[in-house]
Amino acid sequence: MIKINNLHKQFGSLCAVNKINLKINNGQITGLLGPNGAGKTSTLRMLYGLMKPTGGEIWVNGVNAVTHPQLVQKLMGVLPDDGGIYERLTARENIEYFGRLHGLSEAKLKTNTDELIELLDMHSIEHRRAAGFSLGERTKVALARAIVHQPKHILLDEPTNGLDVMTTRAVRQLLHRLRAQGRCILFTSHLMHEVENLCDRVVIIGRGSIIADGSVSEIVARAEVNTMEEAFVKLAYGEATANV
Amino acid sequence: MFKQFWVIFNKEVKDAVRDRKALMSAFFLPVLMAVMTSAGVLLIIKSIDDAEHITLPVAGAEYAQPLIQWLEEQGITVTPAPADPVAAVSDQSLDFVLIIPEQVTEDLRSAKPSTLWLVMDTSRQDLMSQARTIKRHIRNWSSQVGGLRLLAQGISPQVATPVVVQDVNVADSQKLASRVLGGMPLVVLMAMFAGSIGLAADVTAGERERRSFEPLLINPVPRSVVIYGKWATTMLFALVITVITLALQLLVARSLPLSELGIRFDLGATEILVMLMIIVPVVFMGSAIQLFVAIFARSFKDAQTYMSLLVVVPMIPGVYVLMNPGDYEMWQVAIPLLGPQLLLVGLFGGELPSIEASVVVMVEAVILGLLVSRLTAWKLGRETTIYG
Repeated sequence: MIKINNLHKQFGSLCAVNKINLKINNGQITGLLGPNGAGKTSTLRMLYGLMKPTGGEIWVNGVNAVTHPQLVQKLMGVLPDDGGIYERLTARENIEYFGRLHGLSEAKLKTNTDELIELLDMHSIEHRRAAGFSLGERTKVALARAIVHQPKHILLDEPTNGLDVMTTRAVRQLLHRLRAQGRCILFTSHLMHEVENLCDRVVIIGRGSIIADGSVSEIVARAEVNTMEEAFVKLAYGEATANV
Repeated sequence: MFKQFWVIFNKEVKDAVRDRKALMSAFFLPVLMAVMTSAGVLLIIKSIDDAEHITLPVAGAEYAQPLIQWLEEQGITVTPAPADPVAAVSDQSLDFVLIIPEQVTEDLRSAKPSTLWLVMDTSRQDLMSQARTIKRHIRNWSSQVGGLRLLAQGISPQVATPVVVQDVNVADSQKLASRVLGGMPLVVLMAMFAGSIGLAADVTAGERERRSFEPLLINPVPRSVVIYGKWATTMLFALVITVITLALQLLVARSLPLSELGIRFDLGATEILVMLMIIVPVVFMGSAIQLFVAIFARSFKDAQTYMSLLVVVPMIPGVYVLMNPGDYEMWQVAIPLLGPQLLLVGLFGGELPSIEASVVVMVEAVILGLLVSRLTAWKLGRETTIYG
């Protein structure tokens, strides 16, 4: 479980995240939505400890993420936005590298890696060097290495961006499986059908603040529209644009 | 902590070894440097040979046979001169021509002063030392003949030479060649800095450019451990390249005909061992400095540019060492990069450094290396480095 209290991030005169309060539950997939520049990525970066908040608190499983970022990183698996993989290593070596950094035993590492290669259908690229990988193949590797240590909390920044149908389905199945295991999953997306299909709960943020929070049907009902996309446009950009 | 260090070190070594192009160019460097040093030494040897060997075309050699014989005894090759000596020298087809007029035979027999002509081009500075040598030999022969004439008159020849000036030439060939040997430590240090540039840039700025730093740092690994892993990899490569360079330089020094220049080059196992003991800490420090510089670069290319400036750094004390051969003071030893080069130059000459000097050089390099790496880890932890 992740608890965010009064989280605040200021870049010079720009307020990226403005006193957000949020509780993200285990066994749920929570979608974080917002226009570009709304503060989604900044919020995630503060959660996984690479960005220091200007103010506020983050608690992950009772551990203070602001004061003990490395302890929190142990509990987390993160797919950052636009993270590179090592081109001279094979898919398997890329995954194993991060598993070893998390201190997995060799036996456990092998089991977990085998399982992820199976789930994400990576047999054909397992022993190939990553230099020639397609975007989908890269994303699969990046996703697998992020969760190879089977973390309780999973943060994914636009995990299905630019993926083909089959890869998207594989990722979706994986997320369902992780939810069934009771993990706490938070992901950001711009794809509304993706959010509708996957999320148990949707949080919309705009200009650094939370605008809406609830299940897909609750948000659609609250916005008094018919689809998630219409609801998002109406809530995130205001009445005027929604009717266009 | 140590396990994570080992994981990072292993991954970086594997990654680097697979980068064939970078690897090849890094290992090409020591070979290139060995070729350059041998070429340098051989050129010096050749230029000295050339300077010492003089060919002198003589017109009218038959008119002064004893002089010709004397010149040949002095190692000058006497050849016949062309019909027009002045033209041959002025169009530079010949360097000099000595003209002996027919009159000389008669003048010598009757003990009269006679005149020889040395045709030369004084605008050709490079030939002037040879011209001086020729004239010196002729003058020596002349005073010998004069001395004999005085003896024949019952007068001691010493009466005719109140003062003798003896040359002491300090700019001799030996010094020139010892400068080439003196340059070898500089070559080794430069190979060390230049050889690991690519790797140091790749593990820092390259990782930043390929955007893999962020995912790496999301793992629960202390920044310092990340840097130590990358540092150890850079060090390993720099050390291998440095040792290869050193070995090739020693091989060059051993196989060249240095004895022709009167240089003794005879290094024992002790000297080589002490050399390594000095070089290892310097590699330790040099790699740390490279990573520190590279962490400021946003791209691989930037990092390479910054670091190629860094290669110049050991050249500054290196040139100082070349300009000031000889003994060194303790305060000079304490200057980073100058100290190791002073000790290495001494070692190349077969002279073991004092224990104090060695300890100062080693301890200093280790402390500086650790300090710089702390700084690099601090810089890596900053948001502006990860997201800049």
